[in-house]
Amino acid sequence: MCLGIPGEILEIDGLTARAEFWNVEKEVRLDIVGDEIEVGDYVLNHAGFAIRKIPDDDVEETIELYESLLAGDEDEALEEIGATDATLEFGDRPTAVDSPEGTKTTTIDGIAQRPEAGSRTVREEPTEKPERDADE
Amino acid sequence: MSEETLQFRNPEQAEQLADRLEALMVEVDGPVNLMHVCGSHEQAIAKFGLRSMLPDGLSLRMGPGCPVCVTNMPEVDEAVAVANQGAIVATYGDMFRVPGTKQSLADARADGADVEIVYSASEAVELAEENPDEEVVFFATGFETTAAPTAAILVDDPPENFWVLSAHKYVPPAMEVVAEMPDTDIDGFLAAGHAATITGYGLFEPFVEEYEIPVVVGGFEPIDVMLGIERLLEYISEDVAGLENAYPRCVTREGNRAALETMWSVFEKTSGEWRGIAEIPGANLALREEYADYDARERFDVEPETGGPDPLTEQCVCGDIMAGKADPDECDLFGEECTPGNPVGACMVSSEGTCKIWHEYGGHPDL
Ligand code: SF4
Ligand code: SF4
Repeated sequence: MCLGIPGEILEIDGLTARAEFWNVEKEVRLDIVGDEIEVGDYVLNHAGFAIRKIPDDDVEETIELYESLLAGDEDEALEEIGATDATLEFGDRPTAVDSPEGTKTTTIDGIAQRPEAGSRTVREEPTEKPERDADE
Repeated sequence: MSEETLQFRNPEQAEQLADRLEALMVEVDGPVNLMHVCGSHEQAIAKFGLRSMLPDGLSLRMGPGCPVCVTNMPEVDEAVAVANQGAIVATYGDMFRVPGTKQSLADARADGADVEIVYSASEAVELAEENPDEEVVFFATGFETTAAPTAAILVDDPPENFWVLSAHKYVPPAMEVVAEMPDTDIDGFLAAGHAATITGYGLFEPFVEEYEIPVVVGGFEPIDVMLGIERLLEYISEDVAGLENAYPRCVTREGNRAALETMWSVFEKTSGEWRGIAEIPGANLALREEYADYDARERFDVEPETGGPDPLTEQCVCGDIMAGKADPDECDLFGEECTPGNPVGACMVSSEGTCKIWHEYGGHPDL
C-alpha cells in the first residue's frame, strides 16, 4: 500500500486524470496533489491519488530509480496502481519531454558532498519559517 | 558480494559509501542502532542485501513502519464485525488477510460476508455509487499517504451509503514512543520518504530537538538508503542531533500543504493502540465531529464479543519486531507455523511486513 509510483498525465478532466505507468493506463485523482498539473507532467501516485508533481528535472532519474527498485517486483507495482491484470514493461517508457538528456543527476556526486544545499536544517533556522499546520 | 545482488547503478559509489561507513564506525567507536520506519525501506534493504554490507556494530532495525502491521487486532475485528453485519467492506489488498482475534476479512468473506479489495479510496466510493441499496464501509488504513486521500473523498461529498472505518495512523508520535523505549536504544532514525512527501521533513524538527536524535529522510533506492545511513552516522560521529533531507526529489520542508490541509480538516489525532507496541497518544487518526455521519463507528456495532485470541498469536513477536527489539528469526513460529501463505501475525501478511520480507529475501543474507 505504500510505494508511490511515478506516472505521466495523459488527460485531465477536473480532478480526475488518466496517467500512464509504464504501458499501463490508470485513473488518478488530483485532489491533493497541491500543484497545477498539466498533461505531460509526471506525478507520484499513491493509492489512486497523485501526492506530488515530480519536478521536471527529476523525472528521468525518478523513473530509472523505480525501474531498478521494482525490477522483479512488477506485480507489486501493479498492485499499487490497481492493475493486476496488466503487465508492466520497464525500459520502453517514453522519455519525458521536459527533462532533456543531460539534466540527469545522480543521488550523490561523491561521498563527502552534502546531498543538497539547503536540505539541512540543523539548528540553522531558515530565513522564512513556513506556517505550521494547526495540528502540528 | 556480487554487483548483481546489489543492482546499484553505480557500484563504485556504493563501495565508496560502504568504506565511508566503515570509517565512520571507527570514529564512533561503539555499537550504533539505527531504525528506519518504513516498510519500503525494509524492502530495499532486504532485497538488495544491504545489511550484509554494513560494518560490524552497526545495526539497522525496522520500526513501526508498516501501516498494515501496526493496525491493531481489535481494529481488524471492527472491520470483520461490520462485514458480518451485512455491509460491503472495502479495503486495501494488504489488509485482507491480516488476522483479527477470530477472523481476518478473508475468513469473513469465505463465510459469506461481502469484502471487496480496492486500490484507492475513490474506488470504495465508486462501489457505494454502484450499490445504492447496500451499505459500503471503507476500512481505511495507512499513514499520511493514504489518510490524505481518504480525507479527500470525504470532503468531496460521498454518497449517503458510504462510511469510513478509520484505522489511519500518524507516524511521528510512534517515533517518540520508540525513542523513549529504554531497551530499544535508537541512535538515529531513517524517516520514510513517502510519508514525508506529505508531511514535509520540517515536521521532525521538534522531535530532533527534544530527543536529540538525528533524523534523515531517505529515499528507497538502495543507494538512497545507504546514503541515509551515511548521513546518520556522520551526525552520530559528530555527536550532533541534526535533521536532513536526503530525498530532495520527493520531499520538501513544508511537504504537500494541500494534502495536509485536507487531511487535518477531516481527521484529528486520538490515542490508540499500535499492534504489539503500546497505546500511543495522538498516533491514530479519527474522523472529526463534522464527519460523524460518515463514521462507521457511529453507524455499526463495532464492538463484537470476540473472546480470547488464538493461542498461537501469543507467541508472535510482531510487537517486539516493530519496536526494534527483535528480528523475525527470533520468533519461534517464523517460517514454520507462520508463513506468508498462512500468517499468524500481521508482519507476515503485508508486502511491507518485516517477517514477510525476511521470509522472501532471507533477512540477513550471508553473501
Ligand atoms: S512508504 Fe509510507 S506508508 Fe509505505 S511503508 Fe513507508 S511510511 Fe509506510
Ligand atoms: S513470524 Fe509470524 S508469528 Fe512470528 S513475529 Fe512474525 S508474523 Fe508474528
